[in-house]
Amino acid sequence: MANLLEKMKVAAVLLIIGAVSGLAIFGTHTLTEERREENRRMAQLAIYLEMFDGAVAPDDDDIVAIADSSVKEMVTMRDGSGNILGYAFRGEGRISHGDITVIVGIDLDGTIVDVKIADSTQTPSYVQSVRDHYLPKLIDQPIVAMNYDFTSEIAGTSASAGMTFGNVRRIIEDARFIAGDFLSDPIMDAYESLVPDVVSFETFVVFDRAFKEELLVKDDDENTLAYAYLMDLDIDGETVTYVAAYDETEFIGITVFAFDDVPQDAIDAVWAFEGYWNSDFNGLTFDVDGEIENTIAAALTELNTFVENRTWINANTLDYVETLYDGDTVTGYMFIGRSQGLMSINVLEVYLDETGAFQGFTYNQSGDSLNWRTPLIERFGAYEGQTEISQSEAEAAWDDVNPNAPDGETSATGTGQSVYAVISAALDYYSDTLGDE
Amino acid sequence: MSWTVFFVAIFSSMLINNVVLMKFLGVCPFLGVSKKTGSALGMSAAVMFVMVIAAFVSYLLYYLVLVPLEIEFVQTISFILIIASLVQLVEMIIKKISKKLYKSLGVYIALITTNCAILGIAVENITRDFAGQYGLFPGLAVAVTTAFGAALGFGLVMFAFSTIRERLEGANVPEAWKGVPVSLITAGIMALAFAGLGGIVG
Amino acid sequence: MAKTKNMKKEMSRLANLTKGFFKENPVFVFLLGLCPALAVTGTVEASLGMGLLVIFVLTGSNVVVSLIRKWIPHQIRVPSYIVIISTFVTIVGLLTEAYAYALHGELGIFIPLIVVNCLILGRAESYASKNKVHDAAIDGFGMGLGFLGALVVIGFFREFLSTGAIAYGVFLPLAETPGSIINIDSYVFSMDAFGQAPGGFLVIGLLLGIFNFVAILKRNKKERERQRMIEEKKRQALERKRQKAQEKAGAKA
Repeated sequence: MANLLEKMKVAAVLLIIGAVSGLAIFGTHTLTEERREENRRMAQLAIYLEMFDGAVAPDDDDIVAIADSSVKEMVTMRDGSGNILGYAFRGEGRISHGDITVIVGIDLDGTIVDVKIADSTQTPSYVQSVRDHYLPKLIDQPIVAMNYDFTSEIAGTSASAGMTFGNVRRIIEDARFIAGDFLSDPIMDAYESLVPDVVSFETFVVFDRAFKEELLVKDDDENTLAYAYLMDLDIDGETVTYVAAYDETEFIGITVFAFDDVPQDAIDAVWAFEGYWNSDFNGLTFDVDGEIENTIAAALTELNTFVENRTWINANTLDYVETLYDGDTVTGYMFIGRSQGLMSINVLEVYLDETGAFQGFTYNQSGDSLNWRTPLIERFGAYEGQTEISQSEAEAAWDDVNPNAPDGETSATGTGQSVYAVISAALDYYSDTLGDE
Repeated sequence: MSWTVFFVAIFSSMLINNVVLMKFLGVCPFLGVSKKTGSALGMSAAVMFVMVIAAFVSYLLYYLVLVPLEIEFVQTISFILIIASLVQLVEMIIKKISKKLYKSLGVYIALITTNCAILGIAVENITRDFAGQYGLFPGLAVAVTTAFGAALGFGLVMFAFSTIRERLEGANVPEAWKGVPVSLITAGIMALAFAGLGGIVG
Repeated sequence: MAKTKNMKKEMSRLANLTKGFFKENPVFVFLLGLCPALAVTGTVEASLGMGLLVIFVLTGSNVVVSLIRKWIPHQIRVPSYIVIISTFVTIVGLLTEAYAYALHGELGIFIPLIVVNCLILGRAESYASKNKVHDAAIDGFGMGLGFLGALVVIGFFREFLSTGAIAYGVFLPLAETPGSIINIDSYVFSMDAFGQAPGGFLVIGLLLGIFNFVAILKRNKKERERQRMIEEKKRQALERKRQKAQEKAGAKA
């Protein structure tokens, strides 16, 4: 009996201790729950709030999750009285070196307020280099017309930090397409007026001619719908960017990036070309009146000639070949091709003369280190005039530009391999196809 | 989810985020029971035993009981009770199964309740959100693997440290640094070596 | 008579409060609670936060354990203590999350781990369960203060060695002072490792060694003093003996 009583007592004490502690914990929990929630939310939002002066924590309605994009979340930032201050995008990127979380803030005009790397497991020194050298250059740029030219000017860090920055750039570009839905976006508007189904576009080849850039205009499924060409023309002292679009057979049309500071004359001038829209580009000539119209027509004619002389290959690392003429005589060929280099895809221009002999090459676009790139141009110059460059000749070239080349074996560098891949493809294409004609 | 997740979990919790040297969990037994290699190994075995079971049970308790009832805030108290009763249970089972094993492990098992590595790993498995990353049951597998790796890491460091301490016995250490101070400095140097492993896997 | 008794009691209370500071310091003397002492002492700020939480939990659990010490059956005392301690720890965790979120983030997993801090269970078992409530409260508070002191000392050295800042990111104003001899920012000499895992072990080990060294010096000094006293007494005794012998000799003469 006493034993049972003792057991009952133990049970009772345990029960009371449990009940009291449960009550105490539950009471504290209930009292602090709201504040803890608030704290947790604020901690997540702190990085957004830092970017916008006077911003208050956004409501749930202002935070939109985004699917199928490197941007995962868009937050509308407001001040205390509910006025929109700007938008913040949280994006995530991944490369083989780790993950990265980037926050991009833009104001109402679409100007980048700040870009921050919130979290990263990538190589810390590269991330730091991106923070120090790359991100400041992005601030104050319009998100709809970003200029990334500065990347090639950042010496030493470009190749290695480039992969990390590639993530940042991708996130900004994805944010740009989301922002394009509600921002005034003259660039997207221009593409849509030419190719209604456009969802995204990307730089394909850059030029130093009347037209500066060739872009692929893509739909939702990443299919290429058209090729767009940007022409920066000097109209009454202002630089105005016109954009012309072509598909495989036709001139689709021409329009202009109608930014606020573009004169109305420059915008209206494109209507002179309305009659040429959607016509076969072969032998097309532009006959228009007016000073501005003629300036445009001159550039457009140069572009049309390029399109006429260009043959798509789309195989074997080669994109296309342009036949170069002097009057009616063929003087040579320029191939555009691309191949995976050490750090990025290298886009190459390879020049052959009219007999198919190698003349030289240049980099159209590359993220690889200049330490590899420049010597390769000179070294391959030794093969000028050859209609064939053998594997062993290419290996000799790689070894010569590689100060650390191991004795007796080839030192295939990523940059060198990609260069040789495009050059040999061009030479093969000549001997297989062009030479027979 | 690929198998590499498990390799990474073991490798990282054993070497890179070593419980003792990098996370400072289980320092008490690390200093207290490492005078002799035999007792160090005994302790490590007992820790492995309890740690893996505790990780398994606490994970299930959290996701199958606390989360559905929305009482995640009693995590600490429920985990420590689970661990305390587990320790009792394991002690009783070992006693029943093998007298010999009990003789060699029994003392250490009683000490385990206050080994913060056990509670630490159980709590960390929750904060690292394996369930959110991999799904409930694959997450359980990762959690248990992590606990196993952590216990391996604990054992490795215990063993290495105890052999060093056995050597130190015979070394000519200045009087003021004999015993715990020199052990702590040794541990610090070991930690420096382990810090060099950081960054191998993310 | 009554007055002296009262004074004696007061004295013992003061001694009860201060015993944890040096003589029975939980970290440096008893090596209790080393896990948090290593883990959260990267900066003075975190050390201070951890110390305050431990004071709260330790005082609270000591008071409650002492209050109900007579009702708790002996065989379930440890589980009961664990429940009481973890209740306090949970409450402290919830409160810091609500009112000191930054500290909560910094201490992270080590807040729930206060439960397994041997110091707290140790005081409950060895002191609070045998003493009156106010004594238990004083003991808990004093021991907690001793723990906090130890953490702050470790945190001070680690923060200074790892960042060059004294505390809270304040740097020695050496570079800005005109005419200063050193003229260099103290953070130039910062050693990252001391802020990270290895530094915790090294700093505590070095501090312990230094304390031991001081203690040994003191002991040696005392020993020498004692030795000298003995010698002195021997000498005096010898002197007396000689004097007596002389007196005897004089008397004879």
